[in-house]
Amino acid sequence: MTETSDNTTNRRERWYRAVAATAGVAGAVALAVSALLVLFVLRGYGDHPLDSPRWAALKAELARTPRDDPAARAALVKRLRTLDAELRTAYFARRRRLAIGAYVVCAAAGAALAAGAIALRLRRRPARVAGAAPNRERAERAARRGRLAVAACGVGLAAVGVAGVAAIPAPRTLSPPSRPPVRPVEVATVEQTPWARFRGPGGRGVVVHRNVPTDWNAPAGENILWRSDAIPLPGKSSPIVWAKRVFLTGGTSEQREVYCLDADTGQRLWTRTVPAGGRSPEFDESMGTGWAASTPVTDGRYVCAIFPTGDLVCFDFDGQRRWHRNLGTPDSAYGFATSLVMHDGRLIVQYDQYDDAFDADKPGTWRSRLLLLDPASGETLASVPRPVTDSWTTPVVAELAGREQLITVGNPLVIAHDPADGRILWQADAGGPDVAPSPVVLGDRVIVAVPNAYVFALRGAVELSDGRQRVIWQANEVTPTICSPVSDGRRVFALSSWGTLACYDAATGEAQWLRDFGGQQFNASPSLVGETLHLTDTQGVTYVVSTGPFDFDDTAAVDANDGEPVVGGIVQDPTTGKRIAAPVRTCPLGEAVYGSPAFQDGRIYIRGRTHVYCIADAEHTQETP
Amino acid sequence: MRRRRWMLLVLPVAAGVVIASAATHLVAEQRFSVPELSEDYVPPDVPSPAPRSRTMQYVDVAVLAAFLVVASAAALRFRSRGGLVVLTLLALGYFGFYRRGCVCPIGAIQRVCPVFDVRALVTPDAAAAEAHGLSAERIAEAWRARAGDFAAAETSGRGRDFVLSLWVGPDSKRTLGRIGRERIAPPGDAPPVPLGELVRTEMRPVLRFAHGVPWVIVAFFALPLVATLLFGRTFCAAVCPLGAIQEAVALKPVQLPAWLGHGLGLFAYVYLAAAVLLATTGGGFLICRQDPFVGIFRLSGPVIMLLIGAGVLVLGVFLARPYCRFLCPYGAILRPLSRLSWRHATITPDACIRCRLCESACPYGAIRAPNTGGRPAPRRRGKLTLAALLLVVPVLTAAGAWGGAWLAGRVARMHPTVARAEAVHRELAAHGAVRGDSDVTEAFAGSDVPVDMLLAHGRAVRRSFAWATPVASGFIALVVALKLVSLAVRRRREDYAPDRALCLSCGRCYASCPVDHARRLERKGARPPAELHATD
Ligand code: SF4
Ligand code: SF4
Repeated sequence: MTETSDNTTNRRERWYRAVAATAGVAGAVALAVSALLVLFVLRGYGDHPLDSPRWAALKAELARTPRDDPAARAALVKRLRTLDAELRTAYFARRRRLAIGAYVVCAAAGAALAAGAIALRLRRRPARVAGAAPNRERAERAARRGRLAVAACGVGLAAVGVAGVAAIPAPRTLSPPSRPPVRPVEVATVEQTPWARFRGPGGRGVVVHRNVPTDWNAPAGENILWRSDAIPLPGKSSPIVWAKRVFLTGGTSEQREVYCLDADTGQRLWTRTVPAGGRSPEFDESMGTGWAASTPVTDGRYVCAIFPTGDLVCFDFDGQRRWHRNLGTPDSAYGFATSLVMHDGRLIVQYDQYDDAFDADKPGTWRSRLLLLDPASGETLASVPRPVTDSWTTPVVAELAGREQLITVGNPLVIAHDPADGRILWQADAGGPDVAPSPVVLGDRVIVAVPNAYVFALRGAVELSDGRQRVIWQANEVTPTICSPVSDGRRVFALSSWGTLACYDAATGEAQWLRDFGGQQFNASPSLVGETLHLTDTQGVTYVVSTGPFDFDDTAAVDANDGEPVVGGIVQDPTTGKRIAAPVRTCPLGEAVYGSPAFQDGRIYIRGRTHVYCIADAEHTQETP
Repeated sequence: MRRRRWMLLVLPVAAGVVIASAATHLVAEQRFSVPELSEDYVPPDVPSPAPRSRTMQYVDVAVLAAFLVVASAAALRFRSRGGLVVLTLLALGYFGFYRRGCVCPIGAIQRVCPVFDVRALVTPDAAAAEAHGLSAERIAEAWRARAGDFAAAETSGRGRDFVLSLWVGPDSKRTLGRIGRERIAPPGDAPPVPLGELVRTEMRPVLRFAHGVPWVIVAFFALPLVATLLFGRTFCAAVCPLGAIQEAVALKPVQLPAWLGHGLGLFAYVYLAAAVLLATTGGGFLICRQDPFVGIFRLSGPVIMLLIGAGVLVLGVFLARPYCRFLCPYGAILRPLSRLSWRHATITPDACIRCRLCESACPYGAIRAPNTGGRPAPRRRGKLTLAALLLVVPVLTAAGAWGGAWLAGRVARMHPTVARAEAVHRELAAHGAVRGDSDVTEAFAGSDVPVDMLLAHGRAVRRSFAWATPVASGFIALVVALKLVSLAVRRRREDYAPDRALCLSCGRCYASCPVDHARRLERKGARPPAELHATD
């Protein structure tokens, strides 16, 4: 070796050392920074800002703060907003730091690679020839090995492929499955006429049975067939009954449920939680209708229920959930309370909601709508916008002036829809703010009660002939605020929620008599059983009242022995001098009642604040073990 | 000792790459969470990024062409490894980090292949019409009147022969459903009947070629193919960003035994077949979804993607270009084309002197040694093997196709429409309704698409799999068989030469050839030393 080549080698070696050291240092930096990044991330550095415990604590506090303390809530919300901004700012700062770290790692790794490559080049050794020289035999051996490897890989591929794919379950036929038909639960006899919706058949509040009890006392256990266990969640909705099943709903701001009870024993057969799809609505809890005010509906196959969150759910009789939809949380001053209706295989939802920008002239912006759905699938069949804002009434379907109509009462209009496709048939300016009483139909007329305004009788013809007015009569002796009117065809009975009952002549609207129930509060709608009315106040006391014949005999109304009024009796109202229907019985339940009772053959089902009662005469009570 | 020092250097680097990728992910995955908004909140219009401008698309294609020309010149004309390295880094910068790995010829395979679209044919259902007392004319007219509701639907025939035909997509399915729910009233006072109950809707797959493929994609797909037919895989040498990033990390490659290379090389064809199968049936772009490096190019992506990318790179330090050699579906197309290329890179610029110095120069195992010399060959045996293997080709292909046909129904599950249809069908069969128990069925339940439409669509897609799966599996089997045949054919080779299929024209072997060395010195004006050696 010459001196020059020695020098070159030395220089090379020095370079090599320098470059290798650079590579090492860069690699170490890359490693260290990555380790740091990983450590940061493990320590929650990249955590979601809203996972912060401070955030959760504040949110929990907000949830605990009662709604009727708006000042405290507003303060909390403000704190939450500040914290939110703070957390997000911090989060993005952390993210920026992580990003810088990642770039540092990339740069260092790149530098290490480059230096490594140079160092390798500096140490490159001359190529050496090793092993035997290639020849035909070696080439052939190699080809043979290659073939073997290819064959092995091919077999392996086939095996893995077949095993892998075969492990996938066999495909389904994908032919439309015949949906297991949900057979309706038969109601064989007229005695079992179901009470399948709010206010029973046709929403009329008229009971077809004549043998329902007229006397009971729940605290004393008189004429009580059963009392259910406590229903887990409260609800102002009414129970419905189909064959041997009673359905009802309950709810709180946290959870909504649908219940099914055995109609003979009161045993709870199933309880189903309703999936929460919507935002929690905001309404005044003290004035509001609560979280389960809408009465469910059934057609013997499906039970559908709706809640103020906009959750609409459908179960079959076995409690299998068929479908669930959220219709979008409706805005409603007291919470959505309209009950569901089913007609001719369609589920009908009167989905009225508040709209501060409501403009009757801009149909495209109306938020209220009438929905027709397929109860089997929940599919929307029709969705018709309605020019009204929020209401709490339940529609009825009836034959009016020769055609089927769906009558709805809203603010400010009464609207008749075609129940087949939702089309608006006619509308009348006979609704109003805060309407809760549902309409009733008698003959070709619609009776509508607008709180603090009038009771109207409207013509139900789609087209009005010869300049006839829509309104036939209006009366305001008693205008119900919550309870729906009821009619026997000749008369209309209207009950105000503070306990005044009026009897109007159905033809003229003339008030025939009034009766005051002395300051009792009524939420339940009156039901007509033959010639008597059942009026249940919020204390749970039911007044069984005679509607009185027209040609009554005053003296016959009072029992000669004790001077007490008898069934069908009429008394003179001392203050007004009018003849009024007398209560025949007062039947206590012993707990508060908000919903309307459901009537069946010989039975009444009443939902108290916590229990459901089945009332039956002693003979019926004994009939069933 | 020296070896171990190298490990000390390489390992931290490798680890760094892995962790860097993971860190990139950590940065990338933490997205801004939507604030809890009240219902009055109107979400702002999010401006969507504009598509690449037309001019820039021309620029991309021009850049690709220029890269191909320069790479071919560098590899074949100038034999400059240094030039190729510089070009590789430039390609990594432009096609990789600047263009973020898209558009790329590899992914373009999925765009240029023919695609099964599904066509729906709606005809009046005579039986249903009769049952409802409605004439076929009336039904046909009702549907004809609504044909305008579809983006593109054709109608033909009248009455019973009426056909409404349209391409099936999410929108048209929804529209079909909506019209199907509209009702028309039969004569008399019978209740109105939904239009959907009065027709039969048949859906069938139709193979469409090169439908609506942008020319840029065609250019990106075709240019490298043309270049390969002319000059071999110079695209892989210095233009492909995926190749480039692997080339950049291949510091200390080891030699794989040739047989292993032959075996593993098959996977690229499997990948190609699977990707084309999915793309053809409309099941999605496998290559793009599984691209190991795109996450690194974008410094963002799902963690698994980044980890796989980092893993491949770490592997690539020791095993040169693993993706290119064993997986790349585009490479699988380039291999046979390169065999046919007009010109190809050579190890030596002149005659091979069989010095054996280049024997281990190729990290891709692409250098084929001479196969002459030694004892004379027992000719008969080789011929028998070849004949047997030739017979095997059709048998194996048929077996592969048969297997594919057998498993087509299961394979079809990879398609999202089929998967969705099956999930919905399962719920329907079990509960009689779509309850939305899983994310898929819940999303479907909220979609307004009628169940029957979904099921019909699923059946049609499945029928396209019944065609495409046997073709794909038969193709894989054919490749295996042909590979066996090619390994049995003996082509006489006197010199060391690159295997044209596998050689990436990377130029690493040039420097190991003493003839090349001499040529270089000559060009510099120096006299070549008497003894040729291969050191720097
Ligand atoms: S083989 Fe490698 S270089 Fe060639 S196209 Fe595929 S990824 Fe790119
Ligand atoms: S040019 Fe071809 S044979 Fe030479 S090292 Fe590169 S890939 Fe191997």
